[in-house]
Amino acid sequence: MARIITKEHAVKIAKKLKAKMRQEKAHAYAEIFYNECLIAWFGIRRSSEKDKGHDHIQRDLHINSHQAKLLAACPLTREDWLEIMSDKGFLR
Amino acid sequence: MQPIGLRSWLGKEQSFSREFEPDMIFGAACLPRHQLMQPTLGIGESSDDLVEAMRVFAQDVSARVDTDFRISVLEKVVLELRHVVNELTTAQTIQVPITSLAPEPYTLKHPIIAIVQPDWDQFIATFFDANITASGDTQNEALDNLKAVLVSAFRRFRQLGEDRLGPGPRKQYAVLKSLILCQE
Repeated sequence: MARIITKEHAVKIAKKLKAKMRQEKAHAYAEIFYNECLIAWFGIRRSSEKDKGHDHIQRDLHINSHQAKLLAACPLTREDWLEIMSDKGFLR
Repeated sequence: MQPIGLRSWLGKEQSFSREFEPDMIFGAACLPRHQLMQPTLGIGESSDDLVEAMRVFAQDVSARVDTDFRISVLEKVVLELRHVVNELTTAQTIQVPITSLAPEPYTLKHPIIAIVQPDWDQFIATFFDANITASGDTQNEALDNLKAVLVSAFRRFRQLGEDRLGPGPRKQYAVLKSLILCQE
């Protein structure tokens, strides 16, 4: 599996999804809330390397690699992602 | 350049199929171009001989093109196979039982299976039942990170309470609750 999502992407996605950041020892956690409910979260490794792989984020956000890339690059908005989550039954 | 009559050239060609390799006749692979035997019209040779020579030459060229094509296809296949073998030998997925969450004050009711997969120059450890993943530079690091993430998620879900969990995290919490015992 080729590297698709780097740490840089992960940070961009967290900002795009207006995630709340929670810091712990080895990881920072991006938590995405909708109507005050935690609907998804993912860990971001503490490392200075921007290209550190974070290819697990697609699974955490219930989207495919292409959508994750779009989320990081811009075309996919938080609203678009919420629609995907809603379609898959991850919003209540 | 060595001139050679068509009939004698054809005679060599006829014997080629019995005892010579093609390159011994045309010399393309082992002789410089100027040393190739060049058929010319000799005394008593007609244009029919020339036509026959051209037919034989065309057959040979066609056979060579066919062989070259097959070799290039085989080369491609060998390269692809080499790539696959390399992937299989280096990119192995392993199943690792997690039996403890120490030093965190939590214990597991029973061992759980993590899947550790190589991903580029790192490893991803996943506990598929709860859809929880973590990555690391080595297999051990990925596994340690997964343990840390499991504990952190469990703690966070408890802190938030089920009412504030969406369907995804609620399912994760249910799985973790069935596995983790808190000793705090």
